[in-house]
Amino acid sequence: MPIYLPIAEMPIDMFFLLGIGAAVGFVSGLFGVGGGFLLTPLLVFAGVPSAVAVGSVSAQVAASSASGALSYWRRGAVDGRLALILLASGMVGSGVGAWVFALLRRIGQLDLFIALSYAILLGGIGAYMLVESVGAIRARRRGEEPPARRPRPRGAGRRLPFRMFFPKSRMVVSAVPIVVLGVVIGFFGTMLGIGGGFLIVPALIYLLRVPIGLVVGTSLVQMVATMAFATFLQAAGNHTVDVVLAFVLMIGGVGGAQFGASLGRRLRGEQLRVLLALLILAVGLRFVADLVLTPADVWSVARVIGGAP
Amino acid sequence: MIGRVLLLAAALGAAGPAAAETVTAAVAPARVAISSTFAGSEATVYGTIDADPGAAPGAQRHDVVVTLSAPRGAVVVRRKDPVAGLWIVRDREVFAEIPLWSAVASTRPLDEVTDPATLERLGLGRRLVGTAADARDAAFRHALHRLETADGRWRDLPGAVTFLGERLFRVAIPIPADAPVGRWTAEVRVFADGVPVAATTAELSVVKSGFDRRITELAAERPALYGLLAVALSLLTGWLGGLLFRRD
Repeated sequence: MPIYLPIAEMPIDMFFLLGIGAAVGFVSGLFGVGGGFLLTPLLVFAGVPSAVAVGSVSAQVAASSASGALSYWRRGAVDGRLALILLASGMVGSGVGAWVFALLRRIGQLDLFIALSYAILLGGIGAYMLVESVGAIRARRRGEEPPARRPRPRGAGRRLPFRMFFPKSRMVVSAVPIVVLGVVIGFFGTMLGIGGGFLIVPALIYLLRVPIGLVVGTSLVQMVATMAFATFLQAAGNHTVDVVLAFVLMIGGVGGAQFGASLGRRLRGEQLRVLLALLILAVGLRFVADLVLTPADVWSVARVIGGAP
Repeated sequence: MIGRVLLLAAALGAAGPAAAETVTAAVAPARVAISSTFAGSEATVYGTIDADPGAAPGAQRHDVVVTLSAPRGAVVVRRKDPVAGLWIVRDREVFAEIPLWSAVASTRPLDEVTDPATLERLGLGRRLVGTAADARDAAFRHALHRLETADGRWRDLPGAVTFLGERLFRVAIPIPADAPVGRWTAEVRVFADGVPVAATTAELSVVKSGFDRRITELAAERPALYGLLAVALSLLTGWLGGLLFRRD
């Protein structure tokens, strides 16, 4: 059943949108990632102009992470103080990202930067998580305690200044790595039109050693705020948020997110990480393939929307 | 001398009635409204050729060429090249003023309607203005034409214009589901034995209606308010969804 998208100025099948919204929402609830890195390429593939896809996906990610975040919040699985620091530094990163975005667009290398970033970030993080989590599962199978990280003082940058106490996570860490993480996520979030969940989840797990039970909820809370901000900027500044598109995606997404979140509670940390690693790796490889394989047609044409090619 | 007079008379005879012929055309519907369920439509261009009263009916073969064009807009054509083993966009060209959709419908293929010089002079079937500046520009123009034709945004419909009797013609042209919004023009040209004798234009407006119109207007005219509404919609939907699907 086709539905007309007023901002994208094209019709699209409603059940297709509901379907991908639900599938990505499920992934989002399961892993605490926004799913923007999956949804944006899917929409572009379906013919939605990329500027509109990025803008509308921000709104959808805000909605699906809001519903997921509430579910984790009710169970007390959120470190509010950690989320707040990540959020504040994320705003700084977004500002820098917007500036670099405009710069790259001026010199005409934005597409290349985006493709390379996706390939390197997703490929690298996916591969690392896969190796690590498969190792953890094997260790558990052999009856060993999962890797000898436990006895080590938890978290990176424990010797750095500005140490803070996080009562919820029961850890003392320097604010420096948290702020750096927030800035990096804000930067790539703006550059790539993603919430950054696939960056923040592994960073919280491996870098800061946040208890796994708090990782997903904290990253969801941080993402709601970031994506709500991004939605407003995209709508007010670029006119690229299609509320009809976003709303249909949301309807599918919020349902999927709830089922994802409830399944996530039944799976073990290592199993979750293997699944997320495979997913991230698959999307990363798709970008690598785009860069490496000879394209069917070296020429392409696109409408210019929002002023720049 | 007599020969020269005859030649002049013949020339006048050919040009005289031609100049007196006129064409009147219209598009139905004159307004295509895009609503939430819009999935494409059809526009019929019809018209009549009013002959010079003095000319003998049916003496000449008439052809009609109808060019229906969407508003013009900008597109970017990109070209990928391998650089150090990676296929990246090395070159691009922006075409600022091309018809975002256009159909050229005619009674016969254009090359049978008239000679190439006349087609060129009238710009019939040509969507790109001007000529290529150099070889690179020519390659981009060629690629643009090929891609737009392959995607059906630029289409030729030879034989689509039909005559109903001697003077009345019509053609039904499909309006695509992703029709660009704005003022569309239908340019009608009449040829008699290959000579252009009359031309006219008619208009068609493609507009968004109802809900979709209000959304577009709000987004364009009150962007900050639209942004806040989009954020509110997201958070509200997420919250309601959380309540609705609450499983714990």
